[in-house]
Amino acid sequence: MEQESPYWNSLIETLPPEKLRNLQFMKFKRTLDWAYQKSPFYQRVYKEAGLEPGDIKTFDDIKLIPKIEKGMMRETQERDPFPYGDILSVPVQDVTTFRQTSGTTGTPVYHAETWQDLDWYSESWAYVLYAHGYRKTDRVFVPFGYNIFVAFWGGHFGAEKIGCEVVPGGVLDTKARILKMQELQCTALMATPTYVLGMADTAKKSLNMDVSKDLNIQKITCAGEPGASIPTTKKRMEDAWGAKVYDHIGATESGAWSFECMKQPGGLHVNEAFYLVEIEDINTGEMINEAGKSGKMIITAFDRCAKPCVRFDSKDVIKWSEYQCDCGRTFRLMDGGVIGRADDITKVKGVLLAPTAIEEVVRGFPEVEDEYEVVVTKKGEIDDILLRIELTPGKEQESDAIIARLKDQLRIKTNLGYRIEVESFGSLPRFELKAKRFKDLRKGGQR
Amino acid sequence: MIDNKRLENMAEEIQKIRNSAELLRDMGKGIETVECYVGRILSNIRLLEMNVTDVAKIIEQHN
Repeated sequence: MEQESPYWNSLIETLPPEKLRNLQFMKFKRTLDWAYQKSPFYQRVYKEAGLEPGDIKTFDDIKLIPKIEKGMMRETQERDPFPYGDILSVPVQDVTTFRQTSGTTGTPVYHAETWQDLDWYSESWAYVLYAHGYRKTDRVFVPFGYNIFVAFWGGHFGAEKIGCEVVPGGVLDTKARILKMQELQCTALMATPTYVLGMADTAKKSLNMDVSKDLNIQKITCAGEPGASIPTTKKRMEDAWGAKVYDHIGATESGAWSFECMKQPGGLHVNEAFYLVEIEDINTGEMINEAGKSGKMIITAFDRCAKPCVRFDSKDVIKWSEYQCDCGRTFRLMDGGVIGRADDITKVKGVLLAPTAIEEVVRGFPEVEDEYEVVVTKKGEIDDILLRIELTPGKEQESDAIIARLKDQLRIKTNLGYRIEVESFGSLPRFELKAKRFKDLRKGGQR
Repeated sequence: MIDNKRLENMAEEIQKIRNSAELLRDMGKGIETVECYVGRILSNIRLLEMNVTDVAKIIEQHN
C-alpha cells in the first residue's frame, strides 16, 4: 500500500528554497501585471509612484512597489463599480460572492470573489488543514453561522477538497452543537480560541459533560484570534478537549496564509506557494530577513482575480524563526505566530504593551476563568490599567493570593503595574467570534 | 522529490486539458450550462497550473 503523503502538495511544499524564491518571483510578477492591467485603483497608485510592472526586475525591486493600506481599500469603495470600487479587476457580473471584513478596525471593507477566487481561497485552506492532519476519514464540525464574513467558509470548502465530511453547525446553539458533535462522533473542529474554551465550559456547566472524554474530537483548528499560538491558552484548550490544537492565520484581504504543521515547532509556516510575506521594520521601513527581529507584515496573495492583494500592509507584527522545521516543508517559519498588531501595540505609562502578553499571563492561571477584560484609562496625567477577571467557583477565598501572584507575573512579563478586580462569575461578556478584551479609553485610544 | 520528466509530462497533460476545455467553451458559446461547467473546469485547471505547471516552469527555467 502506498504511504500517505504528509503534504497537500509535495511538489511545492518541499521545493528547495532557492527554487521556491524563483517561483514566488514569477507569481508575484504575474499578480502585479494583473493588478496593473485590470484594476484602475492599482494602476493609479503605481502611476502616482512612477512605477510600471516592467520596472520590477529582481526580488529586491519588490520593495519599491507602494504598499496598500486598508484605508485605501475603504476609500476606493466610494468609486464605481458599486459596491467594491475600482479596485475590482473583473467585470462586476463575474463576481459570484460578496464578503466583508468584520470591521474590527473601522468601516468594513468589501470583497468580491469570482468562482475562481473561491476555488483559490479554499485551496489555500486545504494546505492549512492537510498540515493539521485532516484526512478523508475526518468528520469536521464547524460551529458557526456562515454569513457575510469569510470566516470558516474557506475552512468548510478546504476540508471538502481534502475529502473530509463537513458538518455545518451554524444555526444550533452551543449546547446543541456539543450534542451534535457527540452524536456524529466528529473528529475535528474549527473555531476561535475563545469559543473553543467557551464550548468546553458550557459542556461542563450546562451538560455535565467532559468534552475530552465524552466527545471524539482529536484536532482543533483555531482562527480569528492569536490564542492558539499563546502557549498557556493552547495548553488550556488542549487540556480541556484532550485534542491537538493547531493555529492558522488568515485575513479576508489575503486568505489563509500560514499554518502550524503537525510537528508544532513553536511557529507557523507561511504558505509560500500562495503568498509572499515580507517583514518591515516598524521604525526604519527596512525589510527584515533575519530571524528574531519583529516587524509588520506586508503580504501579497498570488493570483487572486477579482480583488488583487499586492503588498497589503496587514499591521500584523511577526518575526522569522531561526528554527528549521523537521516536517520537511521548506516554507519559512514564523516564530510564535502573530505577536500583535502594529496598531494594537500601544504605549501605556511609556511602555510598549501588546495585549497578547497579558493573555499569556492570565491564561497561565488555572484559577482564573477564560473570560477577562483589560481597560486602560487616564487618571489625571497617569495611565491606569484595570484587569477584570473571574475566578473559578470555589476559589474566592484565595482571591488575594491569586491577585498578588497575577500582579507579579504581569509586572515581570510586561514591566507594568495593574489594578485587578475580581468580578462575579459569569458577569464578563462572552464571545463566539473575535473577543474584544482590550479597551483603551484614553483619548485617541481603541475602544 | 519528483523527477523532472514526470513533472514536465504532467504540465503537458494539464495544457492539453486546458486546450480541450477552451475548445469546448468556444463550441458551447451561448449555451448557459456548457459555459457554466466549462468555467468551473477552467477554474480547476487554473489550480492545477498553480500547483503543478508553475513548478515545472521554474524547474525548466533554472536547470
